[in-house]
Amino acid sequence: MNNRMLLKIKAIPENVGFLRNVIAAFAVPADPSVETINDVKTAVSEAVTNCIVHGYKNTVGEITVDVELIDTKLYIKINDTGVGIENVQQAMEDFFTTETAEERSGLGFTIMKTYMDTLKVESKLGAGTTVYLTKELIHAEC
Amino acid sequence: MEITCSSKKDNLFIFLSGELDQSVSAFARSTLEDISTKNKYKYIIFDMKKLSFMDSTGIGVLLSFYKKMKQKNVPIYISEPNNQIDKLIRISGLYTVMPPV
Repeated sequence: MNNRMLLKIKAIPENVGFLRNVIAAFAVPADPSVETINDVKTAVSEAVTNCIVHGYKNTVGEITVDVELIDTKLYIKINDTGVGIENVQQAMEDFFTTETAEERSGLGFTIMKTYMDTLKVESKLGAGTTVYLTKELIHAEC
Repeated sequence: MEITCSSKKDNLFIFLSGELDQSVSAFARSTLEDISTKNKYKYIIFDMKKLSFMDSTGIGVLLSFYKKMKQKNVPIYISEPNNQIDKLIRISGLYTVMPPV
């Protein structure tokens, strides 16, 4: 099955759950396992939270989500037009966080990397950040 | 989400229910902050039976509570996380400071 969804939504914390659930629902026709769906939900939650907390720093912007399902492979693109990341490589290190005011785990990118098959991050200071995630939803049984 | 407590002798059970993510992190932080300033308990147990989802924002909330309780020498344990949360806790390394019961 080939399908595509394009969504633009306000970058507010209340939409983190909405986006992870809607992307999980979009992936369901490929018939993934519960664990695979949970991996997708967790990775999306991390990416969307990054847009809100780091991209827009709790000012309200917009998040654009472009999701494609090609056969059993899921392609997710999550974009914000916020402040951007100064050093993407450093941001992707385990436990790295710029938010010191409140305790943050610094694990967002680590989780996206671990839970998905691929992770690519494009960012430009002052222009925003785009995260590309892919995951094969069906794994052949041995 | 909901956070409720019940104490048994000098142990405190903190029941988490619903979803713990950015949308409720301020509420969770302040509720746990209140708990951390109250009586001294011997052990604290997070009962996660009814917690359906958590992401790394939740890990941050729990870590910040752990740091406060560590100053009081109160150990914290995690009980009955679902598979999604168990995997997240394993990957994040949270079990090293809050072991499972």
